[in-house]
Amino acid sequence: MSDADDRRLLERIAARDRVAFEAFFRAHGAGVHRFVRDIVRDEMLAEEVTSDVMVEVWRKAGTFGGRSRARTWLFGIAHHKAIDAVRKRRANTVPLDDLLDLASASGDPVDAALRADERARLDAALGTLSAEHRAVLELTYVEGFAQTEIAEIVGCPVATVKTRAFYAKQRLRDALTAADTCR
Amino acid sequence: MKHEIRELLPFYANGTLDEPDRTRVEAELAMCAQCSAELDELRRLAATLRARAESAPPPPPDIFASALARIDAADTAPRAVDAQVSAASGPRPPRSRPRLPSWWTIPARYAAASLIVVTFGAAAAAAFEAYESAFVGSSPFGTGRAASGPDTVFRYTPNPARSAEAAATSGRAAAARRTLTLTTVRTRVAQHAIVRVRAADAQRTLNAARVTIRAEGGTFTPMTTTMPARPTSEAPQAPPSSEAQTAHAEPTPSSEALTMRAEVPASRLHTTLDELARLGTVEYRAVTADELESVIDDEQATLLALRAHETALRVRIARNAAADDRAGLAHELAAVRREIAVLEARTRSDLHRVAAATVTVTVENEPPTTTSNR
Repeated sequence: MSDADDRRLLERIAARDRVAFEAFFRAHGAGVHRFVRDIVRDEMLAEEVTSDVMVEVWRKAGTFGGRSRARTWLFGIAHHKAIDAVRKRRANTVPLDDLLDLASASGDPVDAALRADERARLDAALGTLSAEHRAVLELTYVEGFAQTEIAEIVGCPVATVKTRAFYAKQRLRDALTAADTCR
Repeated sequence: MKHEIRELLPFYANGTLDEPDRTRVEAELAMCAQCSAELDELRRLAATLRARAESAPPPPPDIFASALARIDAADTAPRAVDAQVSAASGPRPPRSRPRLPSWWTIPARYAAASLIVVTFGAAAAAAFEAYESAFVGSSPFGTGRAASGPDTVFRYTPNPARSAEAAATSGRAAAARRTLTLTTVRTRVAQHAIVRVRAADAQRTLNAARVTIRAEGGTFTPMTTTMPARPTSEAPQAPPSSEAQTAHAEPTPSSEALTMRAEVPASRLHTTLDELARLGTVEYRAVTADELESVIDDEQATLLALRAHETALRVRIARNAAADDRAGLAHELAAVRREIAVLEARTRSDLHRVAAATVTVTVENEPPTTTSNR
């Protein structure tokens, strides 16, 4: 869906058009939920935060100024809500383990086990990163945002985003290396 | 490797650098093996993270419905207090709403025809059509009635007698009802009207009927049913239940009748019937109504209770129940949400039946003035 389409949908959402609201989240709901889940690392909390994001979009669609892409605006809301949730519950964040059975649908059980193992290692390594670092990795490599857009989403200067992106990758590599040496 | 270039590499890897930065990075990559190795690593990382994202489970199917339920709750609460609400679905034509009578009588002009009107009349239902269409319109997968949303929202009010009756059968529903405020009394009915008209040109009259229905804010099925006309003296029967044969804008012989089904806002039903009666000689006209008050009361009360239960489960899960408990609670939560989704769909359907009356219009050609077949 193009940014122009997104903007049109936001205009309609601002006019309380539920069909547009549904279309907007059909297009972006899965990405937002995945992003939120990777930051909060808790299935239930991720669901709650994603729902918060949707409600916020419904309420604030009229305030979208159009200075950025609609997706950037959306992920800004998602990032704010997710980081806020993590900060509130930092003391007792639950490791995300529901994803480990993802490969079970594979035809080859050995392949599946290997992939599940790799996936588990990656998840565990990501779990050692801060929520801020996970957010930048996700926004850079999965969502493909530009540095200026990420700066807007996370509310930091571009210089901070660049530094964060660099160190996030370093920490992830360190965590994966540490996991390898412990095997 | 230059620090400045190193920090740009992630955005070179994801293809979002602007032209000057891209040129600088490429110049550096041409000279620096370490930079190229770093870029390779970043690209592998990107591919891995994307693959992980692509294989991630989709969000729960009810997450959207859950968000809409919260929006509805937030939207409805203050409006109910004010009993006034602006249109919920953007600009729409102004719509005058007649002052509601405190009682309702059968108009004398209907009495001349073979008329059946059940105890709960159209005006009573019309009084609450605004509220109902608000509810229907606010449903996540609404029936499209949001486009003709309400001018006024009435607070939901259960019938006290029915509440007492329900309390005996459903403790949960009755408990939920106690949270509601009694501000007015109403009865919800699903109305169905049948009109049979004779006219000189059945097809033209049917087209005029469509114009009338559209003008009253209704919709109609594009399909018409052609069936043999009954003798004038024949007693009226139930409306045709199946569309066996269809005809589109074909001139009809005098031995046939054209039938179409339409929906009009319940508040406009009787105005619509008046208008349709002007199109020809009314052979038969009836309005029947199914009472849905208690059905919808129970559905809505049960929904309130289920949503409260859902919230309680979420709170218990959020309060760090033990891992085993979490799994059990999550399972229960999923079951409650499924139940909510089913009940919401049923309630929407029932409310739609109340908000929109159905009309079956049959137009027969006038019998020939001369009997040529004898």
